[in-house]
Formats: sequence, structure tokens, C-alpha cells
Amino acid sequence: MKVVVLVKCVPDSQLARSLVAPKWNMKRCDVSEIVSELDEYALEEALRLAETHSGSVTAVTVGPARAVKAVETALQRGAESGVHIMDDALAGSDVVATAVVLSAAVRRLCPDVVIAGMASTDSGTSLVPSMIAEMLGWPLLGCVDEVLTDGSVLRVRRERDHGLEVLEASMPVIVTVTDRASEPRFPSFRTILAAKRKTIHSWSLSDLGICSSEVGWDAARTSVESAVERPSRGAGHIEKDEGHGGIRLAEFLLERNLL
Amino acid sequence: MSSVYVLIDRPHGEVSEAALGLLTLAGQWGDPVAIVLSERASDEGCDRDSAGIEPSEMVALSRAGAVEIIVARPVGVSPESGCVVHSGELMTDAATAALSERRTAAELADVVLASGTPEGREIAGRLAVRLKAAVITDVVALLPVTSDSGFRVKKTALADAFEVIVRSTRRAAVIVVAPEVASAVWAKTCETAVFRDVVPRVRPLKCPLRMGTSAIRVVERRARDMSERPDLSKAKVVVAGGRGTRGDFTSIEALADALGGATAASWAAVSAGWCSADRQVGQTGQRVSPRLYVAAGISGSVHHRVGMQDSQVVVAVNKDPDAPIFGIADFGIVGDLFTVLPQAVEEIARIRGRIGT
Ligand SMILES: Cc1cc2nc3c(=O)[nH]c(=O)nc-3n(C[C@H](O)[C@H](O)[C@H](O)COP(=O)(O)OP(=O)(O)OC[C@H]3O[C@@H](n4cnc5c(N)ncnc54)[C@H](O)[C@@H]3O)c2cc1C
Ligand SMILES: Nc1ncnc2c1ncn2[C@@H]1O[C@H](COP(=O)(O)O)[C@@H](O)[C@H]1O
Repeated sequence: MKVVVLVKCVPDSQLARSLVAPKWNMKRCDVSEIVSELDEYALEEALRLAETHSGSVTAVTVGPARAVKAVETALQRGAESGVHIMDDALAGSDVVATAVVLSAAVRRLCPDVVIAGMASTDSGTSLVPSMIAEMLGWPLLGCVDEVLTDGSVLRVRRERDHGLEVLEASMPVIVTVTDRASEPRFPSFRTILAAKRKTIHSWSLSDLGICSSEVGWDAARTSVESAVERPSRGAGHIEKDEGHGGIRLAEFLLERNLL
Repeated sequence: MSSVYVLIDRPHGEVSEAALGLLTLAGQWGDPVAIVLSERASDEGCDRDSAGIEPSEMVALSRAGAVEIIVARPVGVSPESGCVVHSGELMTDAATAALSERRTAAELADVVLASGTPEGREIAGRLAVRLKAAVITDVVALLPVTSDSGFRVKKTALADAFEVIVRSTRRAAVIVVAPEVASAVWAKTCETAVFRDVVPRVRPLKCPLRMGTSAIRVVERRARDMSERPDLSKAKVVVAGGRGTRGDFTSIEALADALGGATAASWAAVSAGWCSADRQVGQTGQRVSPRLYVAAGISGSVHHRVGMQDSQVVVAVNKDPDAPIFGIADFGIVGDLFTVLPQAVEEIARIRGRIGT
């Protein structure tokens, strides 16, 4: 079974992030870039699928030079090969352009299953996978918590507000994975060493037959006019429990008319 | 005015409040047209236009301002065949069909509103590809349309840290509104009880099933037991527990009961299996903004805060004085939740007894 996992390189969401004028794009800094946390769950499901069905995992990313880090991380966890799509014309690309590029890459790789995260932690639109599905004419199984298969059909389990669902789809299919899926593994010394011998293919737009007018700032279907930071909530009264913490809490609620 | 199309989601086989809020919002930009997917296949030999849609739902849609209700009924599926309608793709088909029928010269702008649920996002992505439309997610407000500006909206970005004004550079736009915002719009409409007085046209639309859709089968579907506590998204009081509860939610539940509130959890508590997923508050869970949010044994990571920081009053109980949750708490007790919460419950009962409520 051939599995492609889509991994995005993003600024660490635990650190301060900001948008910068004039175009209000994300401020980037190489050191704080990591693989989008939610894509780690996608990678884990991809590796599990490949392990149970003697398949292979190819990690694919689109982004500038530093984005290769996302693919390297995937190789260190056990992905077999990687593809990094990079092109100067891609600067300023919107979700549609990213999906155009990724769907072309998927077409070229011909996998049985594509696995993505439920959302990236920077733009967080959750749109890229559904756009790829539409461009390829594939079904999408979105926000799943577990991926299973008997080799011919893919079966997923997902929890929704209204209950539990088990769905099945024939392949090829694209799946997105939540953070309720299995805990991502850590790389081991052995897999880190092995990763050094694996190849990362670097593709440009022309390798994929994509015209540069389809991507980048000029092709973007939206533009940002302005961005302001929302004021953060300040801290109020914090006290140590000296034996009456619960009483103090109740008094506070009474004072605020919350009882 | 031109039409603004609204994708109506019916998560429990009933029109959602968010969908009604979307119709209200759509009225700001044009004539709201509701696109509803019927559960009845159109080959079931039923000739009512609104087949599969409850009369009460039709009333709700018209009260929310729909001037037209397009009822899309799938062709080529029957519930008995075991092949179950996958609403994401089917809804995309329905919307595309509805829009292509009506695209006249006077109405070149196509605007579709969807709710930001997982399904809503799937449809939005697919539809944007088909319509060559701009698509904007996490929208919190529609801004007035002027002749030269195109469609402009306000949205949040970077886990709600920023508010951003975005403009569509295309004629067609798919606007994905944050579900909690859309629900709040409908709640407000209900509060003020200012409903529109329109009698919508009802138009049936046959919607052929495509290949991709039929590739998905539902093997099992199990509805969740609805708890007796108030629904998390509507609760005025939410008491949430995290890893610090070590799986013992007794005191969380006791305080929620004392305050008539709902219980909630952090990702860590859901991930450990202590709570069901629908209780999770945060970036990958629900966003809530109750009058009171109590966080106990929750550190308050950025991913959790994004789901609750718009609450009116935040109270935190945590053993660690440096827990980030204290940074946004109106009132905090540095202490052990297992002693603080039960004592609070007792004191609340005592106060209530004293003031006689
Ligand atoms: C992309 C992404 C999305 C995420 N989405 C979400 C989300 O939607 N919701 C969410 O909650 N998290 C989310 N997370 C996870 C988040 O980053 C944190 O890991 C999580 O919120 C931690 O949960 P916690 O506060 O319960 O646990 P911890 O961070 O382990 O905190 C436990 C706290 O309990 C305190 N404590 C321990 N014992 C006691 C006691 N007896 N009395 C009082 N206090 C005690 C400790 O001091 C500590 O502060 C997400 C993460 C990522 C990367
Ligand atoms: N530039 C990218 N490179 C690789 N994968 C991506 C990229 N952007 C998005 N994805 C994939 O699509 C998922 C959803 O991203 P988004 O639509 O940005 O929320 C991510 O979790 C990734 O799996």
C-alpha cells in the first residue's frame, strides 16, 4: 500500500506569532519552525497503515527552503521518502494554489491513500485536503480518529458531537486525522540515523507542469486589508489557598452575582 | 438585491441554530436562499416539494429570512441500499446545481455562506474549487458591501490572537462563518424576536449522486447519550477539568451541579479517556463563552485558552502558581482542586440557604 502524508512546516504555536504589514503575512523565523503539530497525528496513522500492510510512506510538503524540516522530521519517524516542492513563484500562495500544487504531486505519486492533518496550526483553514479531494475527484474522510484497513477498503472511526461513526471507502481516498488519534511516536536513534540515507526529492512547479500564474500573490483569491492584535485578557485577583480557598471562591461568585 | 446562498446543515436531522444564524447574516448582503439536503431520495415517489423536511424546519427557515428554500433530493440512492448519502459531496453538488441554474447577468456575484463545522469546511473547499471562488474561513462578521470593494469580512487568525479584514478578489466567494458566532446570531434574533415576515418559495432540485460519493459507506452510526446537564455550547456556566483531576471528575461535576452548569474538559482529559470528545474546549474542541468558566487542574495552554478566553468571568483553581491559566483568570485560587472545589460547593449551599434561594 502506497501512502502519502502531507506535512506542513509552521511557526511553533506555543511561541508568540504575528502578522506583518504590508500584506499581513505570517512573520517567519527559521528557528521556531516545526512540523504542524496536528500533522504528527497524520504521520503516525500513515506509518501504522504502512506497517500493517507492508506499504511505504512518502512525506510531501510545499514551502520555502526551511520547509524541508517537515519532511526531514517525517523521515526520522520512519517515512521512506520525501518530496519538497519549492519554487520562488509560490510566495504568497493561498489555499487554492497550495491545493493545486499538492494535488499535482499526488497525481504524480499515485498513492492509494493520502493522509493529512485536520488543520494546519497557522492558517488553520482545513480546506487544503478537501480542495485536493475535489481536484482529484476523490472521496474525503474528514476528521477521523482512527484509520484501519483490510487492504482493499479503508475503514475509519470518528467521533462527532452527535455520536460515533464508522465509515468505509474504496481507494484512492484522502483522509484527515484529529488529535484524538494515536499518540505520535518519537524518533529513535536508529531511525534518525536511517533518515540520513533517505532521499528527499526537490520538485519545482515546472516538474509538476504547473504554470506560475496559477500560484503566488497575484493568483490569490483573497487579500488582507488590515490586521490588529486582539487585546488579551488581563489577570485578576489570584490568591493562595490558606484553608479557605473554596469559601473565597464562593464569595467571589456571590459578589459577581453568579450564584 | 442579489441572492446570497446559505448551506443549511442538519446535524441531527434538524436544521442547526448556526444555519439559521447564517440566514440572518446573509440578509446583510442580499436575499437569503437556503439550500437544504433532503434525506429522502427523489426516486422515492414522493411529490411534495419539501419532502424530507419537517414543517417546523420550514417555519424556522422562513423566520430566519429565507426568501427561497431549495430542497435538494438525491437521485439514485435509497436508504435500504446500504449506500448512504455522504452529505459533504452531495451538498456540494446541490449548491453547484442551484447556483448554475440561476446565474444570470444581473447576478454575477455568487456568495455562499457555510458554517465552519468539519462538513461545512469540506463543502466550502470543494465548492470554491468548482466555482473558482475565493474562500474565507473563521469569519466573525460580514462587512457592508460597497461598489468597488467586493466582499469584505472580519475574521480571526492565529488562534484568535488577531482580527483581520479580508477581501475577496473574486466575484464568487464562499464564506465560512465560525459556528459559535452563527449560533449566537440566531440566539440574539430569538431574544429580540424580530423575525422576517416572508413566505419563501420552495423549489425542489434533483441532485444526482456522483461516483466519489458512492465510494463512502456508513458501517455504523451510534448516537451519543445526551447528558442531562445543559448543552456545552449554550450553558451559562461551564466547569472544566484537566489532567489535574487525574481522572476523578466528581468534584467538577459537583460544582457544575451546584451552579446549574455544564462540565467540560481539556484535551489532556479527553485524550486520557476521562471525558467524551464533545466535552473538549479549545482549538480542536469547542469554543465557549459562558457567563462563568471555571478551569480546575487545567494549565491553560494557548490551545485551551482559545476555546474559553471570551467567557465573561474566568475562575481558575490550580496547584501551580505559574500556570498560564492564572494570566487570564478574573479570580484564581492556587491550591488543590480536591479540597477547594468541595469546599466551594459546601459554601455555595450555605450561602443559598442563608439568602433563601
Ligand atoms: C494543534 C493543537 C491543538 C490543541 N487543541 C486543544 C484543545 O482544543 N483543547 C485543549 O484543552 N488542549 C488542546 N491542545 C493541547 C494543549 O496544548 C495542552 O496539552 C492541554 O490543554 C493540556 O491539558 P491540561 O491543562 O489538562 O494538562 P496539563 O497541561 O498537564 O495541566 C494540568 C494542570 O493541572 C494542575 N494540577 C495537577 N494536580 C492538581 C490538583 N490536585 N489541583 C489543582 N491543580 C492541579 C497542574 O499544576 C497543571 O497546571 C492542543 C494542542 C495542539 C498542539
Ligand atoms: N504547504 C503544505 N504542505 C504540505 N501539506 C499541507 C500544506 N498546507 C496544508 N497541508 C496539509 O493540509 C492539512 C490542512 O491544512 P489547512 O488547510 O492549511 O488547514 C494540513 O494538516 C496538512 O496535512
